[in-house]
Amino acid sequence: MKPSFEGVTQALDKLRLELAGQAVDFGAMELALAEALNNCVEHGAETVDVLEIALVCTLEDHRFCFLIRENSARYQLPTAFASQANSDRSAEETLDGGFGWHLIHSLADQVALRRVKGWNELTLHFGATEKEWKDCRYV
Amino acid sequence: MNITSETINDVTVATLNERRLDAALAVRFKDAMRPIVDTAEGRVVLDMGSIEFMDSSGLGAIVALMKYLGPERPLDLACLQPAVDRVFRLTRMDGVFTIYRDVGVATDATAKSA
Repeated sequence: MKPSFEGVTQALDKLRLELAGQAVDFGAMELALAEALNNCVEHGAETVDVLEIALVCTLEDHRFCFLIRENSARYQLPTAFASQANSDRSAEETLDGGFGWHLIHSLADQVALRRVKGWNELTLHFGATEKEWKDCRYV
Repeated sequence: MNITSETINDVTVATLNERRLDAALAVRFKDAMRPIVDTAEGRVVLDMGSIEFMDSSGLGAIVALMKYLGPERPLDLACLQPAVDRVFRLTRMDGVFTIYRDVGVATDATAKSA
């Protein structure tokens, strides 16, 4: 997948076709994935000469595990979100950014990040139990 | 970015004729809206009925537009599809914007922004 915002759209369009007919809330998955992938495109390219992004989807009994693997610099999952900050702000003071991670955490059942041999691996899980989360397979 | 505009009851209605408002189109959205809102004298209503998908970049562009217009020219929203409405609800931005179910209600002469 070409690391650009347009590339993200193309990848998600392809994923939608692949998952057509599955009884899932694709809209929620699409939005969470778009946020995560756009974050890679926007921030990852600043830290490496050639940004590489791989999106892997594992499906089992209508439960989905998405792995986003990319080679940008290490980062930490944010713990504070613009949505929380905006709750006490006026319209003029409202933050116009920082919503992405809040959306990811709101839509995915599980969000995990790890660093493996120079690659960031962000995993988003939808509809899984704790055991299924731990047993999530990668292809 | 295909955006059309008209004036109804002194309200500037900008209709987004696109399927998506996302990171790939957010900048073009802001650029396309600028000449429309620069001539708006009062309320502006954004008709988002065609938008099937919006991400945080699209939301950020709308918030930036609201701040650009300022308190004298409120920005309201209309015709949100469920997926788009979800983004506003999850981010609590549905408390910042006035959201109407259709343009007719939004441009009713008695309608006022919160």
